[in-house]
Amino acid sequence: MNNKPKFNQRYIWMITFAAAMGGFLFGYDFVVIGGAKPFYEPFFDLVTVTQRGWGTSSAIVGCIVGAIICILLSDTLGRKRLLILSGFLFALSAMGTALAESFFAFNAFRMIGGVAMGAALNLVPMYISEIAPAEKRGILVTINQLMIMIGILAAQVVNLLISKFDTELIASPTTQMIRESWSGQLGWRWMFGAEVIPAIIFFFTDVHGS
Amino acid sequence: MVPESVRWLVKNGQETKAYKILKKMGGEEYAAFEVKNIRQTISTEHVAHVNFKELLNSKILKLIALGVFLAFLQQWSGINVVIYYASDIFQAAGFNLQEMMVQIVAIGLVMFLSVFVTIFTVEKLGRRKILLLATFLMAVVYGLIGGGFYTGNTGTTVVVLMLVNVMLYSLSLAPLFWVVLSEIYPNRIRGAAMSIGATAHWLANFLLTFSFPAIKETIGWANNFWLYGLICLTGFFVLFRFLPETKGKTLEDIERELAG
Repeated sequence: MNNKPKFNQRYIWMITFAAAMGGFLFGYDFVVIGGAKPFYEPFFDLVTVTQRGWGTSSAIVGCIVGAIICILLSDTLGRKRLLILSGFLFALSAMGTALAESFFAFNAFRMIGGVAMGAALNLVPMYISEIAPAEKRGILVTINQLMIMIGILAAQVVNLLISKFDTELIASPTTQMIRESWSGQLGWRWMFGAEVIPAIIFFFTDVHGS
Repeated sequence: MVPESVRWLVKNGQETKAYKILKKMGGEEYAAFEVKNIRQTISTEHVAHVNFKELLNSKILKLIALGVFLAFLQQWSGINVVIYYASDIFQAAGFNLQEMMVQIVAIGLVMFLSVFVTIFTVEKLGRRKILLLATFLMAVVYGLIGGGFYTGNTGTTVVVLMLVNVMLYSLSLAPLFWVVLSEIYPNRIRGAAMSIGATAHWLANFLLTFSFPAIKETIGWANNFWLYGLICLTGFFVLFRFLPETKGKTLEDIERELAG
């Protein structure tokens, strides 16, 4: 090429941030469990280490599955279709986890979210790298890392705000008191449920456009 | 909003679509140049066909080994342990609960701010320099942290050193693992090859999280940090020998260099 191309920076940055919403969702999903833990554990009456371990790490099992799905399908189906799929799974998982009535359903939906996390964490940098101009590629791929950090921050803020919403729960409650409180019954559901909004935005921005 | 990846489109025989997207990004000349350049890396038999046997090609196997090594280095350089077990570590260093909560928030803040250092330096210094400098310094700092625990000089010094390593990790291995992984594989099989690195990253994460309590119990805090120091130092030497610089090059130039 003779002349240095004049890039449409707005378009390139817009695509990057739209794709990096996948990183935001990853970050949110990765840490939301930590803030919800003190509330869903009494609700589902989790007492053993194994039960509690499943609660926090069922999503990680899904992450491995998500990465393996990308080995098999990302070259065949393309990046966009899998990004759409992960957006759909993020939304499904957020809704399902928020409405779960059994610990089994809770873990099943967390695992579905994990598949979306495992896929997104890998697909977003792959995608950005493949559309980015060479001299900006490192910066644009790193934007995904920035969005992961913002997602983590968002989950921490949402968890804090929701837990503050319950003014009746005393500072050091018993397990029984947590179970019967608003936080134990509904609060933790909103922590997971809040993710539906960014997940749906991510899904539609991925679907939109050729 | 999110068009399909132009490189996947060309690989899949949809050059017209790729051209349109590239034209919107950088004009006609850029689009024509890019499509032609990408097309050159994909032989006729590879268009619209995925051949997983490609992964066994010796040059690609070497690049996959590099990706898997980076994945294990990223996970086993010890920062995940600092994050997951922050409260245990700070307790062992002699802090109470309230002080610990402040330090955990400090970890989050340091990680967030470090990403900006990467954004401002990754295209100037390059991936290689940042990774080499950070892994080397991390090894030194882990040596000091281990020394602190060994001699009983814990307290604030250990917390500060820990935050230094969180910063070094967050501006190097954390983002650059993904940057390098997304750059070193050829167009025709990038999806599968990169995803193998991502799978290795989860496997390494899983192994670390499960083995850490047992390792710490067996060898103690000081040796534990020295072990991470040793891992970082190994990482430094391996990357010094095998990590190519990918800064500023097109994915196609990188491919010709590494897998051509």
